[in-house]
Amino acid sequence: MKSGLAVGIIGGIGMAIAATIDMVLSVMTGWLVGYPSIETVAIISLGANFFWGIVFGIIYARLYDSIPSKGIWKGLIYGIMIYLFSNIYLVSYGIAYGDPFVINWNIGAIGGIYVFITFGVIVGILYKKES
Amino acid sequence: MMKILIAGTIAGLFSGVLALFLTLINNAVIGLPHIYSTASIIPIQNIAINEILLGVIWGIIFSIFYSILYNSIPGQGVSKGLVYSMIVLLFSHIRWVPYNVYYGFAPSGLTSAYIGFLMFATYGLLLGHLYKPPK
Repeated sequence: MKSGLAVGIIGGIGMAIAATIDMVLSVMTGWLVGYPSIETVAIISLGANFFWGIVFGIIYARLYDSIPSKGIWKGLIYGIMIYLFSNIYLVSYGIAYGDPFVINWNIGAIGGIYVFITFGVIVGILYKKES
Repeated sequence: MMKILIAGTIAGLFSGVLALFLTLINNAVIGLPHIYSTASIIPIQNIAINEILLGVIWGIIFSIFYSILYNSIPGQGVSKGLVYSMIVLLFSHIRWVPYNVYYGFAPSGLTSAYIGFLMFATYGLLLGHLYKPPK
């Protein structure tokens, strides 16, 4: 695929499914507390991650040439970069301020790495830049 | 490598100091909730250490990625730094806003986004101004 938008849509679907499984299981098992119903968590997780997957896909196409490595590894590096900028950034401030709810939420954010691995693998395999 | 680390440190320090003042105004003066804490008033020294220290640490980390991605970021000089910092803002702050709104933390989520915007705009302008890649 040569379109960042198209790759982002597919990557967003993958990301949304991975994130929703993570969130629903976390709430069902009591790992995360203070959340609304599982249905609400699932709908928000699906919608938000699908939307962000599209945005991340478009940015991936723009930054493609400068991301180190090739193919699937290039996608994975990009996925880990987003994870660092997004989740680990959030976690670092949550830990520094030491709020119990934020720390609890952060456990979910740290565990979310496989969401970005899923996204990275999908865009890494699918996206081929026009030569 | 040294040039980008210095640029990242300076830009991170300035954006951290700005975040400190904005957080103080929001939390202690206006009384708005803080995104990372449910405490009504956070001690000033905690805000100072957290914002400045993390501002510098993340300033350095983001700058390393800036030097790697440099050629693919649109713009020149200061505007290139600004574009990059807005991408980082999107990943680090804006991405969480819908969750904050849905889960009932709209005021703190929106406060975080606007502090983040000013913080990263400052960071990007400084980084774009200070860093010139080796030829």
